[in-house]
Amino acid sequence: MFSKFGYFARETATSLRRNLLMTIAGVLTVTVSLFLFGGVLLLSTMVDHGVARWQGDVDMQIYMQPDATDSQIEDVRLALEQLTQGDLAEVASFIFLDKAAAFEEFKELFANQPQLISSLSGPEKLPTSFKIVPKDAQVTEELRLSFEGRPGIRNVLTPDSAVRFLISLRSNVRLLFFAIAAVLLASSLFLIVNTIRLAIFARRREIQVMKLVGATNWFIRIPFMLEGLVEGVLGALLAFFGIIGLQKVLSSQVADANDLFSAFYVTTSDALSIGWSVLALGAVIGMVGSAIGLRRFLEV
Amino acid sequence: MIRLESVSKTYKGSVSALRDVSVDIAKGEFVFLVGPSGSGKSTFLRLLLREELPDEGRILVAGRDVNKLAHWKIPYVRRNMGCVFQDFKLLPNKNVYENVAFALQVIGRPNHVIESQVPQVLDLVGLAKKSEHKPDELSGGEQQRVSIARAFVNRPLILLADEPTGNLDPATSVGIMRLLDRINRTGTTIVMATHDEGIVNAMRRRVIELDRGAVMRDQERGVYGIGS
Repeated sequence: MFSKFGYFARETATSLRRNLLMTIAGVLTVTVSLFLFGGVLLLSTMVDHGVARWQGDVDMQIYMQPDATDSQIEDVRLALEQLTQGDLAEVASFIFLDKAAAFEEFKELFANQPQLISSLSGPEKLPTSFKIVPKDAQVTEELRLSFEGRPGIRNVLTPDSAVRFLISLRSNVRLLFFAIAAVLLASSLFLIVNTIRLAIFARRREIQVMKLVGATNWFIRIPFMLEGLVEGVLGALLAFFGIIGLQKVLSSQVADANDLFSAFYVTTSDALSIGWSVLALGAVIGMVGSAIGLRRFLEV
Repeated sequence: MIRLESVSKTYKGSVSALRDVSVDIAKGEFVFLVGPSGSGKSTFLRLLLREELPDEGRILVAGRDVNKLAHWKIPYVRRNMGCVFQDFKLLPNKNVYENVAFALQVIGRPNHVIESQVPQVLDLVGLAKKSEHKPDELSGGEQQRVSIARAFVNRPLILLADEPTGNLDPATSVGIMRLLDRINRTGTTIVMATHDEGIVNAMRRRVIELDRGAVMRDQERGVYGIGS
């Protein structure tokens, strides 16, 4: 058994060295495409965090005074209830967030600023609010005007046009980057397929002899599979470190920036989880690439 | 040991390579396959190795129907058969020892088996002193001995030889035939396709003559051609 492992390791290393330039090309393409892929994920995680802060994941929100009475809150609820009724309803749905729920949300939004959370000893000082999903984005401004100034209401937040623009931009830019990453991933796959085919071609005499003396197909395939795997994982490993580095750079820039951009944070654990999926993807690309490369050549 | 029952094989768009061939070869026999080029000798050997499937008929090797074999079992059947070719098929970047050891390595034999078997078989073929040489440092006859050593190192039941003396001069060929004869006397069945009239006539073994894919003659202690 041990001699087999030694054999596979030797054969794989020899083959990687023999096609050194192709190996480097394969590894680097995997690196670039996976880095781009991971970078897009990292950036969109950042934007998600920022948008979550600004938008609060709802289209509009009515904040009550922290000392609003129960009857004042009940009045607003009844008014909203009526707006959900009938053919001319302007509100699709709404929920009421009590003080405890508001505190939970606060902790989530400011997860990267623990000192802020601890400075707020409990939920008592937070205002209660209504989260509202209007039927139509056009009516948010109208709704704001009709609620603002009522007793017990502190303010009404509607999504800013800039935020709306950012959200639509985010999905488009993300799509574009993913498309580029997909093209690069495909080309790295083809490069690995090609490397494996060259390796098979370089060793066709050996393969012929192996078949004649009765080596099993798996025995013949394993060194090539390993070769593809090594290329994929090596490329992914470089991309992994690149993504960790990118996170460090982005974080330090955000920390220096003003309040507005501090919402666009990304944590090391975000980068790590993206990094692990990039590593897994690299391994998959390597295996699939060599499987495709092997398919045509190794029929008995 | 080997049995062909009404085997036919036609390649795409050409004449038939084998036509209704039935042959029975017992364990320990030494059989010459003779006939002109294109008579079906190589196809005969390729079918035994299960490199190809016949269009019709059954082929039994060591009691197994090789055509009904599951794909993954084919390598295990080939381990019972050694192969020797006209062009030796040695690996140029490995030395003599490594070329022979390779055949055992790739079927997963442990190192201690390799270390005991390879010197033994190199001794048998008379190349113990040249085990460090690369194939291009050897004469044609020596290279063919290496390839025979590689075919025999796993002690197969059957040795298939396709024109093993085709590239060698007559004197060297005699040496190769002595070696094959010695291997045959250990109980190994040998099937050898050849053009070499002198060898066939000198050895006086069973001769199966093929012509355009059909068996023309199957004769114990035969000669190359009638009237030769």
